Amino acid sequence: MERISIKRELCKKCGYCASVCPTDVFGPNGELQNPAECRHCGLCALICPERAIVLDENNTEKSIPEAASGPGSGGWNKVQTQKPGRHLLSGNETIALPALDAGCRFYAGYPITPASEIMYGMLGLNNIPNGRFIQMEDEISSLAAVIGAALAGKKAMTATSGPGLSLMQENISFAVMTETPCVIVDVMRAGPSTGQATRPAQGDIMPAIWSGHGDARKIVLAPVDIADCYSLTIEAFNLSEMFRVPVIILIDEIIAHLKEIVDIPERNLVYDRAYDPNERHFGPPSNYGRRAASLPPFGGRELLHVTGSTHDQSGTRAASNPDMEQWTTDSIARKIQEAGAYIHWRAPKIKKNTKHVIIACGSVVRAAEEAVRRLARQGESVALIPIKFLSPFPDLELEKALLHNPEVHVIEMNQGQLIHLVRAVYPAALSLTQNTGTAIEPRRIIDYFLNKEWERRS
Amino acid sequence: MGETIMNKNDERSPERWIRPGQTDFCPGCGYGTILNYLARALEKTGADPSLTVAVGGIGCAAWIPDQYMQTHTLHTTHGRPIAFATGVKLAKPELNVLVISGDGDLATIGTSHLIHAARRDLDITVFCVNNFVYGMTGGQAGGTTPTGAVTSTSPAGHAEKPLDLISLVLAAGGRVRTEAEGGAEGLNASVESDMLIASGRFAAREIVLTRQPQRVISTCEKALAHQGFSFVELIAPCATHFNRKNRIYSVTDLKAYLNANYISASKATKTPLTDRAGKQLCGLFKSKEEYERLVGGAI
Repeated sequence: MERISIKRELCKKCGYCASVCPTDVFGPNGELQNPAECRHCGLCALICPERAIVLDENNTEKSIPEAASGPGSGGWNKVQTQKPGRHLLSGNETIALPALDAGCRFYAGYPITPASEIMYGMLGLNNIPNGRFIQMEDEISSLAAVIGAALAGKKAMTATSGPGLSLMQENISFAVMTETPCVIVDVMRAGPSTGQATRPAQGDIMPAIWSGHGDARKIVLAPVDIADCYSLTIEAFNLSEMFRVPVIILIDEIIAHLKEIVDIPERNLVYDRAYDPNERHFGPPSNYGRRAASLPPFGGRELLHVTGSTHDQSGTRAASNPDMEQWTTDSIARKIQEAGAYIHWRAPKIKKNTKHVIIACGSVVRAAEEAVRRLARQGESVALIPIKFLSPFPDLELEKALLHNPEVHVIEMNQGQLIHLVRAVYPAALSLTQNTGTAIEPRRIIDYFLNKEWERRS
Repeated sequence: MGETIMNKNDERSPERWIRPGQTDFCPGCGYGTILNYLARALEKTGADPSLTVAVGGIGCAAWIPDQYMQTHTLHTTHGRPIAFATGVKLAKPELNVLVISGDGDLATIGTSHLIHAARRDLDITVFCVNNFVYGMTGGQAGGTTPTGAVTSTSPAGHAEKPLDLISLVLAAGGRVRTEAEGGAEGLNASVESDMLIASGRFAAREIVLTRQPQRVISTCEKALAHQGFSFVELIAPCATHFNRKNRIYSVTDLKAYLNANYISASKATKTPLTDRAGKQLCGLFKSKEEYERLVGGAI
């Protein structure tokens, strides 16, 4: 047996070996010319791009390290809150509390008006064991770091406003494809572009639902008050970990800076990520009781291969297989559908004789509530359906609530976005919009119902 | 040289870091060699594959970790692997986090993350594989394309000046702090202080196709062992898109090209500046001043 041999099936004839060999063992294309000349220096084996050169006949391929079994399947836990009781807080101040109560242990962010206060709240991570806070160089890297931390086993979050959400698009799509749980808070301000940075709007409804390129809906939650800011943030982390999807919390600037009393419970039901050893890492779960596949963290005995390319259930790239692409997008879409069934939101009861129904989300709900109250005093019967789950949209529930064919008015602070979601269920819905960078006042809604006029008067 | 041959009785071998099979890299590409070097360097540091996360961006170089390394791997978006690695490292400081990606990825679209990771002195190792062009998309010019080089987007020769990544990293890099200082200043200090140990700066440039592969492996090993941010630029011109367009038709031509454009730091100290004008330095550099002195001027 020669002291040197070449694995022909691996060799690409690049000639790297010939260029380093001190004794001309190889021909220009890497064929063995003078194997007897080999001095066994090993340079060729080091330089060979394909590791095709074998210097020792006993070089058998070593087996890969075996995935050892480890503990830790997640699930539901009752978790003590850190600051139970009654507090007077703004939306931005609140969001950090449920995040920490839900077990968020990593925050990466970048300053932006009107979302920066969320970052100050998350500084509390520095006082928690294993908590990590970092201010990154931009929103792109903020979400990147969040995804990295989530894959290393932490619950992770970032917060931003419209321009920052725009920068995060590519990585939101990455989180969807790699099934990485993470929570993104978007405080909506008036746009487009820099727009009116300190003023409220609801222009990011569609951009949030369809955020990221490549056809995948997100879960989008929209609190209407400070109590919602607490409970829906807990819900956001639970949904994110359960379904392994990015979840976006949409609040407008009014909710972000409005101070209100909030009662924080003693305990919350919190879902922790499921991990079963030797399960598949991506795609539909093999365990029926579970909503998404098992995700081992980086650093475990079970090697995790994560890629934003289309991949199979072990994370191996399958970037030109048509079936795989269909299967991947299907399984992502199915998760969002299942999340809809899981959320099980109920519309408020509406009397059969109610002629008018207002549908709204975010801070508009508050103005509408006041308007409905005052209109009732004047004998006008108007009902209100607040939408807190923008995606998956509760279309069946809404359809049931509107069975008696009332006149539906969708009021929002943009050029008309929520209306498209409602019209998919109820095509006759009317759209009322205001895009002034100011709150929609109850007065205007009352005027509309009394005078049937929505023209803006200064 | 006996150490390159695997010991029969040794259960552990560099091969355990690599997934079996042929790579998809073009004939003449040095990326497979880099995989080989990295496996050996990792093996020498005594690291554990299950405690190692290899992060790559988009491009041929990112395939080195993503497709072929037998560790935890994270194949991220274009230009952002360092940002992802920051999250992984902060979330689990005990992990051995390395970034392997290309020049277009790390030093053109993602330059800001490189600068800021160096500035933070985050304890990760970045291997920037420099092939001078965007190989995967058809050989367009990028931030590191040499002046005058013919590429798909500069058919008459590239007019711009390339970035010197070593000087960039050395200039941005490493708050040099002693352990005693602890570093309590700034918003992030309390978070990062446990992984910010005074380390000096670490930037190295090596050529992949060399007669001294042991030196490259040793540099990679030192980079991996370095506490704090370490950066290694590995020069491996794109065989398909750069070499052919620039009249490099064989490995012999390639070696001549590399010899004409690069000089090792040790050789440079013995060569007068005028005799090595226009040549880039290879070797390991630990301070901006040292690099400036060798280059012969402020960087």
